[in-house]
Amino acid sequence: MAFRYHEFLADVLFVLFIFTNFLYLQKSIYKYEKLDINEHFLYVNVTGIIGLAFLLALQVIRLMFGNSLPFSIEYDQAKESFFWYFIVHFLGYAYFFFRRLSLYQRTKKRLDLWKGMEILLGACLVIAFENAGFMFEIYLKYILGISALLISVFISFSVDWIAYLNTKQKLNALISVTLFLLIGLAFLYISDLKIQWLKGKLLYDEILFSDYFFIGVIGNFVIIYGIISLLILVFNLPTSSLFEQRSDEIFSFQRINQTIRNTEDKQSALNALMDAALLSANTSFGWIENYSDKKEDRNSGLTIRNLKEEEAMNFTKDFNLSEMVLNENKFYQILDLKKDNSFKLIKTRFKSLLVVPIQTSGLKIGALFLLSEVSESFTDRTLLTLMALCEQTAVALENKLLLKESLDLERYKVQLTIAREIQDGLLPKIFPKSNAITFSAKALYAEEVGGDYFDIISLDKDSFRVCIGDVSGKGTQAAFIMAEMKGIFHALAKTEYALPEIMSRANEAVLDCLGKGTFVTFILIDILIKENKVSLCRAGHCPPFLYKSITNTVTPLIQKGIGLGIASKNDFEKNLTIESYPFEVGDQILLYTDGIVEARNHDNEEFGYEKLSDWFLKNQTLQGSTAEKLLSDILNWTQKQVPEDDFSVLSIKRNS
Amino acid sequence: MEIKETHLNDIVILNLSGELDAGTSIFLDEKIEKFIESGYKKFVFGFEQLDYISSAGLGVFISHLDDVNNKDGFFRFFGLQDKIKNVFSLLGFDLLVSIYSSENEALEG
Repeated sequence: MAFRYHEFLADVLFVLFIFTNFLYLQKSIYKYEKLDINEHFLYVNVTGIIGLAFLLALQVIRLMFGNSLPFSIEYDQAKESFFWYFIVHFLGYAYFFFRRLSLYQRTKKRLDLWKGMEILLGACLVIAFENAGFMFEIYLKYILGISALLISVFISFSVDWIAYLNTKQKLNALISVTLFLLIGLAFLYISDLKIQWLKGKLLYDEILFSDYFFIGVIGNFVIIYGIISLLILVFNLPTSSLFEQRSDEIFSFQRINQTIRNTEDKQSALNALMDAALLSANTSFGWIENYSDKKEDRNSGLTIRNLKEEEAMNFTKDFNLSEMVLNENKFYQILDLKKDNSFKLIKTRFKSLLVVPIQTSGLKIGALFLLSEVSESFTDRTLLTLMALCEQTAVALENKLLLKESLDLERYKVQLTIAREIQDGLLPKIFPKSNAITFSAKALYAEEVGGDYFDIISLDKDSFRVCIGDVSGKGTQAAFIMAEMKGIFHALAKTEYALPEIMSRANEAVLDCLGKGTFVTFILIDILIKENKVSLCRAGHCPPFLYKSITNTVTPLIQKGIGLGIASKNDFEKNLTIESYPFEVGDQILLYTDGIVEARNHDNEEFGYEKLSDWFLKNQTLQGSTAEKLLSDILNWTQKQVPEDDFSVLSIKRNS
Repeated sequence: MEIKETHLNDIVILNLSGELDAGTSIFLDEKIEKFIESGYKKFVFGFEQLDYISSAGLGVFISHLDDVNNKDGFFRFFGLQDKIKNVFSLLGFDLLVSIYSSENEALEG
């Protein structure tokens, strides 16, 4: 057989034509990052319709002019050109579009199938030459064709993109696929193949020995994919709305969490819950009763949807349903309000009622009420979802609350620590140095801060002024007044005033500046080393103990005097005394606050004055650690880690 | 703490029992405040059943003492247990108010 160059050239050009067109189409469909399914269907179908329109127009022209068209164009040639141009575009675009669709979820199996498909198609394209004439050509084409058909069927079940469409998109896709298949049929009708088919010849025989071989394989694939997509779409439609509802429910869980995370406001969380609940229960009517400890506030924050408050009240005023579901921690359902003994008297258009508690084990939030115009409206599944929604809301709200509480607590703790540091700074840490006197002092507070105060200042190198005070009350309030006492003491102690004058002025300061009912017990002592004596004024404070080394005895120094801030100037001065006591080498004075004598052990026994006096007598050899030792001994005696009241001790020992 | 109140003519008699501390003193304060507002100025406090008084409890009496004295009224106390008597005297409060051993004595003055 002679080799016919022009036929070979025509075949090469034909293969090139298909190949370049396919390359172009692949580019144009893969340039989109996101696949808009309906847009691409539209493009495929419009291409097909335009092609059909051209071919139809050609038919009309033939009817008018016969087989010889104007400009000496043969009808068959024109038809063939149009047909090929449009069929390649139509099928090629559909091919790449469906390829992308089938790889909507890329799995290894699918990618492998496609690799096989592409190799087969490449082979098909190469041997598409009409009657290449080599041996086994027909068998090879059979094998390639049937393999491609099988792979097409396998690939065609990769239609999971359908699951991601909502109902409306599915309807659109259904119409598009149907149209696509109709256009495909129309092309088949127009093509020469159809004629052969009608003549009773096997379709594939014709395809195998024509230009149609390659495009036929492609066509097989797109038609099979189209038909299977159509079937799956049809079967998916009825369950589609349910599927969407479930996925909306999942989103509402997420939304409730987000709402609560992003807002302080309980109401927005309840609004989100209300909307989610209505969606899940497939009804439009409901409300949330915002439960609080005060019963009259029960309906304060009614989150209500599509109902008048009176309608809701019908169901709540005579029956305390919210309290019931909260107490039992179970939902309450009435399947038919018309038949229910308690509710049949209520005039209402609604048939079923559902109440769901919103609470955690620690936090009662309220109850969700749903009404439906249909009896037995709430399914078991709905109930489960609603219970979960309510619980989720309650847990999220509780978490938020706990977080806020712990943050607040943390803030207060920090504030109190600061307050404590400041107060620590108000008490003297370093005492005046003297060879003649050793001071020892320490305070322990029941809370972070307290109301005990002591101070020591040096008047000159041989005399010191010492004070100790106890503000009424405890904690922060007492701490503020204690700070004020320091101001009062420092302002007065460095003046030339005599002790009683200082005391009287301090009394006035407390009366004038501090709240009524607040008082301060106070002791002021001048230690005069040269004169071997101490002078002392006592304003209601626990009497100091004086240890006399000569007699080895301890005596309390009880003398008249009213606490600061209790009596008017006259009464105060009238009752105030100043006493002097000899204070010689080896002598020691112990000042303390009432927390010490009132300390109690586990048997509720008070430490008392006697034990303190005994302790003082026994512990005369301590040098500068008297206060520490006393406080630790008392804590040991009470067997408590921290004191229940403020403890303060100050000792003054005469050395030389 | 419990407060039992009785009246004799224009005298209010309040018998306290239990512990008068920072927490319970608020109720006593409110009570005294109300009586003073409605014109009473003579008070007798029975301490026979009172086991403990804190500084805040004392503050309640101290805060109203001036007011009552200025109106020619009085605060009188009777039946103080030794410990409370000691607290009163250490503070010098006994120098400002009258303390009696029985209710009758307190009422007679």
